[in-house]
Amino acid sequence: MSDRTDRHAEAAFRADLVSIIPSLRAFARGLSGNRDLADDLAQEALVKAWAARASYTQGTNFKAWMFRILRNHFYTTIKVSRRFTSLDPQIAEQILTTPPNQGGGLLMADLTRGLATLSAEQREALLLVEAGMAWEEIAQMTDVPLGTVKSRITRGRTALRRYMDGPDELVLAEAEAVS
Amino acid sequence: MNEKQRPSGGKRPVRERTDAVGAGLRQLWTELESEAVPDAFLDLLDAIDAERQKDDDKTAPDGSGR
Repeated sequence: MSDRTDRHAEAAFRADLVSIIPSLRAFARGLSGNRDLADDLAQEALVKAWAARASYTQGTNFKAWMFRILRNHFYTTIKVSRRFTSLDPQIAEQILTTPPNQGGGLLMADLTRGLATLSAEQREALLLVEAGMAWEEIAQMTDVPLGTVKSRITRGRTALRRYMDGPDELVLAEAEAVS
Repeated sequence: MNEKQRPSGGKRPVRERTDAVGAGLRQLWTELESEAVPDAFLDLLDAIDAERQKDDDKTAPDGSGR
Protein backbone atom coordinates (compact mmCIF):
# COMPACT_ATOMS: atom_id res chain seq x y z
CA MET A 1 0.00 0.00 0.00
CA SER A 2 1.37 3.42 -0.92
CA ASP A 3 2.04 6.20 1.56
CA ARG A 4 -0.73 8.21 -0.02
CA THR A 5 -3.18 5.35 0.45
CA ASP A 6 -2.00 4.90 4.03
CA ARG A 7 -2.57 8.56 4.78
CA HIS A 8 -5.97 8.46 3.15
CA ALA A 9 -6.93 5.38 5.19
CA GLU A 10 -5.70 7.00 8.39
CA ALA A 11 -7.66 10.16 7.68
CA ALA A 12 -10.78 8.09 7.07
CA PHE A 13 -10.16 6.12 10.25
CA ARG A 14 -9.69 9.31 12.22
CA ALA A 15 -12.98 10.65 10.84
CA ASP A 16 -14.69 7.42 11.87
CA LEU A 17 -13.27 7.82 15.37
CA VAL A 18 -14.67 11.34 15.64
CA SER A 19 -18.11 10.29 14.49
CA ILE A 20 -18.31 7.34 16.88
CA ILE A 21 -17.48 9.32 20.04
CA PRO A 22 -21.08 10.20 21.06
CA SER A 23 -22.24 6.59 20.67
CA LEU A 24 -19.16 5.28 22.38
CA ARG A 25 -19.71 7.58 25.35
CA ALA A 26 -23.38 6.61 25.55
CA PHE A 27 -22.51 2.93 25.53
CA ALA A 28 -19.83 3.41 28.17
CA ARG A 29 -22.15 5.46 30.35
CA GLY A 30 -24.90 2.92 30.11
CA LEU A 31 -22.53 0.10 30.92
CA SER A 32 -20.73 1.72 33.82
CA GLY A 33 -23.34 4.15 35.09
CA ASN A 34 -20.63 6.59 36.02
CA ARG A 35 -19.72 9.64 33.96
CA ASP A 36 -16.01 9.74 34.79
CA LEU A 37 -15.48 6.04 34.45
CA ALA A 38 -17.43 6.08 31.19
CA ASP A 39 -15.28 8.80 29.69
CA ASP A 40 -12.15 6.99 30.81
CA LEU A 41 -13.43 3.84 29.13
CA ALA A 42 -14.35 5.67 25.94
CA GLN A 43 -10.99 7.43 25.71
CA GLU A 44 -9.12 4.23 26.38
CA ALA A 45 -11.14 2.54 23.66
CA LEU A 46 -10.21 5.30 21.23
CA VAL A 47 -6.53 4.95 22.05
CA LYS A 48 -6.68 1.17 21.68
CA ALA A 49 -8.56 1.50 18.41
CA TRP A 50 -6.00 3.91 17.02
CA ALA A 51 -3.19 1.59 18.00
CA ALA A 52 -5.01 -1.33 16.36
CA ARG A 53 -6.20 0.57 13.29
CA ALA A 54 -4.23 -1.71 10.98
CA SER A 55 -6.43 -4.61 12.05
CA TYR A 56 -9.64 -2.83 11.09
CA THR A 57 -10.98 -3.55 7.63
CA GLN A 58 -12.48 -0.46 6.03
CA GLY A 59 -16.11 -0.92 5.14
CA THR A 60 -16.86 -3.40 7.90
CA ASN A 61 -19.00 -2.59 10.94
CA PHE A 62 -16.97 0.12 12.63
CA LYS A 63 -19.44 0.64 15.45
CA ALA A 64 -19.39 -3.04 16.37
CA TRP A 65 -15.60 -3.06 16.21
CA MET A 66 -15.33 -0.05 18.52
CA PHE A 67 -17.99 -1.25 20.94
CA ARG A 68 -16.22 -4.58 21.17
CA ILE A 69 -12.98 -2.86 22.14
CA LEU A 70 -14.79 -0.80 24.76
CA ARG A 71 -16.74 -3.66 26.32
CA ASN A 72 -13.67 -5.89 26.43
CA HIS A 73 -11.83 -3.15 28.25
CA PHE A 74 -14.81 -2.60 30.55
CA TYR A 75 -15.03 -6.25 31.60
CA THR A 76 -11.27 -6.46 32.04
CA THR A 77 -11.36 -3.35 34.19
CA ILE A 78 -14.12 -4.56 36.47
CA LYS A 79 -12.45 -7.92 36.84
CA VAL A 80 -9.15 -6.39 37.82
CA SER A 81 -10.56 -3.63 39.95
CA ARG A 82 -13.42 -4.22 42.31
CA ARG A 83 -13.79 -0.51 42.84
CA PHE A 84 -16.55 -0.69 40.29
CA THR A 85 -19.86 -1.06 42.09
CA SER A 86 -22.57 -1.37 39.50
CA LEU A 87 -24.56 1.57 38.33
CA ASP A 88 -24.83 4.27 40.96
CA PRO A 89 -28.49 5.32 40.84
CA GLN A 90 -27.86 8.70 42.43
CA ILE A 91 -25.10 9.62 40.04
CA ALA A 92 -27.02 8.22 37.12
CA GLU A 93 -30.05 10.26 38.02
CA GLN A 94 -28.01 13.43 38.27
CA ILE A 95 -26.48 13.01 34.85
CA LEU A 96 -29.78 12.65 33.08
CA THR A 97 -31.41 15.64 31.53
CA THR A 98 -35.10 15.22 31.82
CA PRO A 99 -37.65 16.12 29.19
CA PRO A 100 -40.13 18.79 30.25
CA ASN A 101 -43.25 16.94 29.25
CA GLN A 102 -45.59 14.30 30.60
CA GLY A 103 -43.56 13.33 33.60
CA GLY A 104 -40.78 12.03 31.40
CA GLY A 105 -38.25 12.92 34.07
CA LEU A 106 -39.80 10.45 36.45
CA LEU A 107 -39.78 7.75 33.83
CA MET A 108 -36.13 8.33 32.98
CA ALA A 109 -35.08 8.40 36.61
CA ASP A 110 -36.90 5.15 37.27
CA LEU A 111 -35.46 3.63 34.15
CA THR A 112 -31.94 4.60 35.12
CA ARG A 113 -32.33 3.15 38.58
CA GLY A 114 -33.83 0.06 37.04
CA LEU A 115 -30.86 -0.38 34.73
CA ALA A 116 -28.67 -0.44 37.82
CA THR A 117 -30.46 -3.52 39.04
CA LEU A 118 -29.70 -5.55 35.90
CA SER A 119 -26.66 -7.69 35.30
CA ALA A 120 -23.98 -6.02 33.19
CA GLU A 121 -24.71 -8.49 30.40
CA GLN A 122 -28.42 -7.67 30.34
CA ARG A 123 -27.70 -3.95 30.50
CA GLU A 124 -25.20 -4.31 27.69
CA ALA A 125 -27.65 -6.19 25.48
CA LEU A 126 -30.39 -3.59 25.97
CA LEU A 127 -27.99 -0.75 25.23
CA LEU A 128 -26.67 -2.39 22.09
CA VAL A 129 -30.22 -2.75 20.77
CA GLU A 130 -30.73 0.96 21.32
CA ALA A 131 -27.44 1.60 19.55
CA GLY A 132 -29.05 0.11 16.47
CA MET A 133 -27.35 -3.25 16.47
CA ALA A 134 -29.11 -6.37 15.26
CA TRP A 135 -29.38 -9.32 17.60
CA GLU A 136 -27.03 -11.31 15.38
CA GLU A 137 -24.46 -8.53 15.56
CA ILE A 138 -24.78 -8.43 19.33
CA ALA A 139 -24.27 -12.17 19.53
CA GLN A 140 -21.17 -11.92 17.39
CA MET A 141 -19.82 -8.98 19.32
CA THR A 142 -20.37 -10.47 22.74
CA ASP A 143 -19.33 -13.99 21.77
CA VAL A 144 -22.52 -15.65 22.92
CA PRO A 145 -25.19 -17.62 21.05
CA LEU A 146 -28.12 -15.75 19.54
CA GLY A 147 -30.47 -17.42 22.00
CA THR A 148 -28.49 -16.00 24.89
CA VAL A 149 -28.79 -12.52 23.44
CA LYS A 150 -32.55 -12.91 23.03
CA SER A 151 -32.81 -14.17 26.58
CA ARG A 152 -30.78 -11.27 27.99
CA ILE A 153 -32.90 -8.74 26.14
CA THR A 154 -36.19 -10.32 27.13
CA ARG A 155 -35.21 -10.82 30.75
CA GLY A 156 -33.68 -7.36 30.94
CA ARG A 157 -36.82 -5.70 29.62
CA THR A 158 -39.00 -7.75 31.92
CA ALA A 159 -36.86 -6.91 34.94
CA LEU A 160 -36.93 -3.23 34.02
CA ARG A 161 -40.68 -3.21 33.63
CA ARG A 162 -41.11 -4.96 36.95
CA TYR A 163 -38.78 -2.53 38.63
CA MET A 164 -40.70 0.43 37.25
CA ASP A 165 -44.03 -1.10 38.15
CA GLY A 166 -42.98 -1.65 41.72
CA PRO A 167 -43.38 -4.79 43.80
CA ASP A 168 -47.15 -4.46 44.17
CA GLU A 169 -47.58 -4.51 40.41
CA LEU A 170 -45.66 -7.72 40.02
CA VAL A 171 -48.57 -9.94 40.97
CA LEU A 172 -50.87 -8.13 38.57
CA ALA A 173 -48.37 -8.36 35.74
CA GLU A 174 -47.90 -12.06 36.22
CA ALA A 175 -51.64 -12.60 36.36
CA GLU A 176 -52.02 -10.72 33.07
CA ALA A 177 -49.27 -12.73 31.48
CA VAL A 178 -50.96 -15.98 32.40
CA SER A 179 -54.44 -14.88 31.28
CA MET B 1 -55.40 12.31 42.02
CA ASN B 2 -52.54 9.99 41.39
CA GLU B 3 -53.06 6.62 42.90
CA LYS B 4 -49.41 5.79 42.62
CA GLN B 5 -46.18 7.67 42.25
CA ARG B 6 -44.77 5.22 39.74
CA PRO B 7 -44.87 6.77 36.26
CA SER B 8 -46.04 3.52 34.76
CA GLY B 9 -48.38 2.72 37.60
CA GLY B 10 -52.02 1.91 37.32
CA LYS B 11 -53.25 -1.18 35.60
CA ARG B 12 -52.24 -0.73 32.00
CA PRO B 13 -51.61 -3.91 30.03
CA VAL B 14 -48.21 -5.56 30.27
CA ARG B 15 -47.53 -4.91 26.59
CA GLU B 16 -48.18 -1.20 26.96
CA ARG B 17 -45.85 -0.97 29.94
CA THR B 18 -43.17 -2.91 28.08
CA ASP B 19 -43.49 -0.46 25.19
CA ALA B 20 -42.94 2.34 27.69
CA VAL B 21 -39.71 0.66 28.77
CA GLY B 22 -38.58 0.43 25.15
CA ALA B 23 -39.43 4.07 24.53
CA GLY B 24 -37.64 5.06 27.71
CA LEU B 25 -34.52 3.18 26.71
CA ARG B 26 -34.52 4.88 23.33
CA GLN B 27 -34.90 8.25 24.99
CA LEU B 28 -32.13 7.49 27.46
CA TRP B 29 -29.79 6.48 24.64
CA THR B 30 -30.67 9.58 22.63
CA GLU B 31 -29.99 11.84 25.59
CA LEU B 32 -26.65 10.24 26.34
CA GLU B 33 -25.60 10.42 22.69
CA SER B 34 -26.53 14.07 22.37
CA GLU B 35 -24.39 15.24 25.28
CA ALA B 36 -21.58 17.62 24.43
CA VAL B 37 -18.23 15.90 23.95
CA PRO B 38 -15.75 16.92 26.68
CA ASP B 39 -12.53 18.68 25.76
CA ALA B 40 -10.50 15.65 26.82
CA PHE B 41 -11.71 13.83 23.73
CA LEU B 42 -10.67 16.70 21.50
CA ASP B 43 -7.25 16.69 23.16
CA LEU B 44 -7.00 13.00 22.39
CA LEU B 45 -7.81 13.63 18.74
CA ASP B 46 -5.22 16.40 18.67
CA ALA B 47 -2.66 13.90 19.93
CA ILE B 48 -3.64 11.52 17.16
CA ASP B 49 -3.27 14.29 14.60
CA ALA B 50 0.14 15.14 16.00
CA GLU B 51 1.18 11.52 15.64
CA ARG B 52 -0.07 11.43 12.07
CA GLN B 53 1.84 14.60 11.27
CA LYS B 54 4.98 13.13 12.81
CA ASP B 55 4.61 10.03 10.65
CA ASP B 56 4.10 12.17 7.55
CA ASP B 57 7.24 14.13 8.34
CA LYS B 58 9.16 10.91 8.80
CA THR B 59 8.04 9.30 5.56
CA ALA B 60 8.33 12.38 3.39
CA PRO B 61 10.82 14.85 4.81
CA ASP B 62 11.31 16.61 1.50
CA GLY B 63 8.22 15.47 -0.32
CA SER B 64 10.07 12.69 -2.12
CA GLY B 65 8.37 10.01 -0.12
CA ARG B 66 4.94 10.85 -1.52
